[in-house]
Amino acid sequence: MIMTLRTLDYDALRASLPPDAKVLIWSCNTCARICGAFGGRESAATLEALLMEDGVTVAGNETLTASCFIGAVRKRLADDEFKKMVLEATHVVPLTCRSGALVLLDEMPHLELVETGKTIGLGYLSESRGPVLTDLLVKELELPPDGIPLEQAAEALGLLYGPFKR
Amino acid sequence: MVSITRRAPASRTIDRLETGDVVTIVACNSCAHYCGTGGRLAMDHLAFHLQEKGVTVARKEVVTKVCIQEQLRRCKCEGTIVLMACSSGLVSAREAWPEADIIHTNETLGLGSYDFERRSAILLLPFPGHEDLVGERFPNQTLEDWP
Repeated sequence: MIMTLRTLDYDALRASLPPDAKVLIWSCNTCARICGAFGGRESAATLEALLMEDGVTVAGNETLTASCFIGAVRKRLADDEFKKMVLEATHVVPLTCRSGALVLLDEMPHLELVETGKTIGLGYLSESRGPVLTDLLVKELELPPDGIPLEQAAEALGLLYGPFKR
Repeated sequence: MVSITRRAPASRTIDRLETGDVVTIVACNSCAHYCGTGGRLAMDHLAFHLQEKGVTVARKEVVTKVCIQEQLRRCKCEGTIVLMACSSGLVSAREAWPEADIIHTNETLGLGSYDFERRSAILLLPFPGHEDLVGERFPNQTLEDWP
């Protein structure tokens, strides 16, 4: 399972969007959801509600099982009505891992990517410890052989855990 | 994004098994499957090889995602567990089955993407020590190279 943590809080995200932005929120319902609900259908809906409360235009809100599969993204974009909505959007906020974000950028190059996550490594979902980080891409942290809870890793790395909230 | 794995040398893994040993093979059907180091086909191939060697394969279990620990609960294991998964799957399995002897068949190299058209995964973000493999495709071995 790919472990991704949030780099921005809600206020920082809101501030990064220009007043005329038409935002597409795009989320994954597998790894990103399991990373303390950084992503997933519910987190995407929460973010949509927050942005709309603040007067931001949300063009759309999409959640796929895995956005890192190019074929799945292309299949979704093959729907004419959906494609029309995507073409009207100006910014995409990916609640996905780095790979998912890059796929979105490749497939929808007219959109400005507002990255909100940092993919830090590999982990698993423990029944007793929740999401656990076991292998790191970054060098700032030493991990024991049984890994550390993702929330603890977020604190150590100065990143944020969980969905966007006010 | 998928975790990229390749088969670890047999000398560090299944060569530990001897004639008469009893094993259960647990194979991950997600990332490891995409890299040819998990999934049913690779599992059946390994089972065939182990049986030829006189090892009894008591059970074969395919798990959608070994890194989602609750999915291991339905596995019925007997004897040594031969685990075809990534390093996170190994930690997951060790926590789920603390008393078990687990032989891990794979080496985890980093993270990457899967190319459906060419049926292979590409290493993009390497873990330390595997930087020289960036851009390589996995599986880079055929089943006939196993083990």
